[in-house]
Amino acid sequence: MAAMTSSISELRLVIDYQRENAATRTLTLDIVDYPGEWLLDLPLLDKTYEQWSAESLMLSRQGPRAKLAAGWHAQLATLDPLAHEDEQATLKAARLFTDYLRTCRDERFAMSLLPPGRFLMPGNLAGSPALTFAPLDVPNGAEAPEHSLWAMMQRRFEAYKDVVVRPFFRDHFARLDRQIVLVDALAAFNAGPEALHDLESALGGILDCFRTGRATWLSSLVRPRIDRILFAATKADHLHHLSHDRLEAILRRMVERAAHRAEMAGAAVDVVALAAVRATREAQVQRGRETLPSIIGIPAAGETANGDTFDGKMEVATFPGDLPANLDELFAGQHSFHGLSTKAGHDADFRFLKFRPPFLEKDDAGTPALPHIRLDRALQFLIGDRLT
Amino acid sequence: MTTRKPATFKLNDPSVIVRDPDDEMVRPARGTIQITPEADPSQLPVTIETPLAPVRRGFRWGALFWSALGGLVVLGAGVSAIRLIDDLFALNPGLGILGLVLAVATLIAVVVIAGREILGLSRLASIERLHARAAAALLSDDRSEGRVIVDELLKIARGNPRLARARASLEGHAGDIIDGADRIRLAERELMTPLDQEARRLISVAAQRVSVVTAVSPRAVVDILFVSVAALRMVRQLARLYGARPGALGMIQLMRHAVSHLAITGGVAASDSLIQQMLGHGIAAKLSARLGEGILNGLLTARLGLAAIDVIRPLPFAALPRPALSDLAKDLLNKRAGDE
Repeated sequence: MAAMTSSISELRLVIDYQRENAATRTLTLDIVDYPGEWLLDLPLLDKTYEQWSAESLMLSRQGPRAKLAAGWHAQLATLDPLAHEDEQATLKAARLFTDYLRTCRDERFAMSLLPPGRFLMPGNLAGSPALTFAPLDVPNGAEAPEHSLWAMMQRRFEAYKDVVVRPFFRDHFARLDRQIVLVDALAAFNAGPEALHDLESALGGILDCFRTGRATWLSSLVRPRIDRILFAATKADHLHHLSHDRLEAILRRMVERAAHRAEMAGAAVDVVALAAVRATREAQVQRGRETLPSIIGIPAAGETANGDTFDGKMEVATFPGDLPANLDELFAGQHSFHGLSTKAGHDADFRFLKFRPPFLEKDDAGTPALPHIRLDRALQFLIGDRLT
Repeated sequence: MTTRKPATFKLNDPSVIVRDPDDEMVRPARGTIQITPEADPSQLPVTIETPLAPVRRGFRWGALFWSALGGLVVLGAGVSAIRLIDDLFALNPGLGILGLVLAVATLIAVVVIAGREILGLSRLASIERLHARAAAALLSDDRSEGRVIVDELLKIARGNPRLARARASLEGHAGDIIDGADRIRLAERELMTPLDQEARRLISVAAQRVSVVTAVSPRAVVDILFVSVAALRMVRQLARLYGARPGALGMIQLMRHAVSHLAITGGVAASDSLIQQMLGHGIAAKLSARLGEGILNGLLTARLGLAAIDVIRPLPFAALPRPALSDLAKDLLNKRAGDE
């Protein structure tokens, strides 16, 4: 089950514990949850409007995105960046651009590199004028003339950076000292190789913004640095545990460069396949001579597979496909496997269904805790050293 | 491997049979699909060993006492040596120079011996640390920790040419993706199997020697001397075998740990084998008092050897069976039977 984070939320947990040497201590743990989409804004801080426009346009003309961006491209062609500023045209461009970003995130395409993040997850900025701008096809090396459409877009882009991105970076992001990055790699596998490449470059861009390094008492007072990063491949319950190693290896490969840089700076980095809520059981399915390591669970209402649509009540066993063991082949080309973005459902190489959380039987001890996968390992890595 | 396409099976489909995992394997009828739910490995109760109450790391007055006393003794010895050399010079310059040379030689020898002892002790300590870390990693299944432990193990085993093949095959698996605990078990299987066999042979040889000598020795003093020498020799051989090479202080430390380990585990083992030993001893003693004493001494030596293995082995017994006293006793009795 994927609960969408739509805004920033914080939780303070005060843990009283006893150390090995019998001294009692208190650990105050501030958990900050923010939408991953907002992270996509951090790389924008170093970019000008022209750079961002060029990159967004280039991306929107590649692969499966070109088809989704057709509506926006058509309107873009009618806009002249040098013309006088026009509020209505800007509004329309922003709406079409946002629609394009939203469609890209659809389950069938599962793109990740979709800045600016507030267009997808506006949080408290929904409907605000801060979000009315869009990329333009601007000429290279020229200056924006005054009162032109271009100058207006540029102004709004800079304002977005100053009013939205910088405060988030300063007030929330820069205060962190432990970071867990939840990566939904399975959605990318559902969609296809383009989505996987997209995820890889989005992760790369975000990770460059983390301020990592060994924490010293001085840095922890003045400028906290992230000294432990955990990359978590989420929804590990959506595949058989025999494939968890491969999932971890794939994620490790995707964050390799950033992880190396963080380790060089003295931070500890780990990769784990986990599921905060385990929604499935495991089973072996015998079909003819084949034995498929599968999972049993109740797919969420509206999920489809092989032309069936599930109602959220029926239990099914599903074999999602073998994750590749050869990473070089997987990351080599655009055609290493087939996903939903290019093929019909029954031709895809992977099908990871969404499952609803398990029913919990109430017993004498009250409602039992939700089952999980490796959440303990993640906690041990993230805060274990503070509790010794 | 050809890639397998994803597939979904509805559990209420008539051609799908959900089978109880405890049932016997039945050949599925044509066209049906059998689904066998698996026991959940992560939901099984986890056994956590409660650690012994940690030793209070307060200020160690005992250590201060012994260090201070040792310092005083060394100072006293130094002063008396300087006095002696002064006296010698006063008597005759030639004698004085000879005394000085001897004193310097003594000093150099002391420094070298101390250095070796410290090195041996630190090697011993690092093996014990590795043992503890491996035991922890077997529980936590931490992948990077497992890799580090196996690397350190390879470093210890580097000096042993008999393990060349095992080392090579283990290094061949270095790049594979293996869970932490499994990697340690693999290392144990590869590296420890030949060492465990050799250790078992060493212990049974020592035990046999002790039992034979006890059976034929004319005096109790000879017994005691021989048994202690043989036990020391055996523990030293075991330590060298597993890569520790302890010096004299290291040996004292090791014997202390082995004996205290024997005291702890002796209680556990008493229920099964000590009674058998005593019974066996009783029967043997009926036949011949000396023969029974010999067998008992041999078994005790073997027991000490097993305790020493537990202390000195860099990995805990996880994948391989721990050598049991009964195996060694069999060796011992077979040998006796073969001799007589």
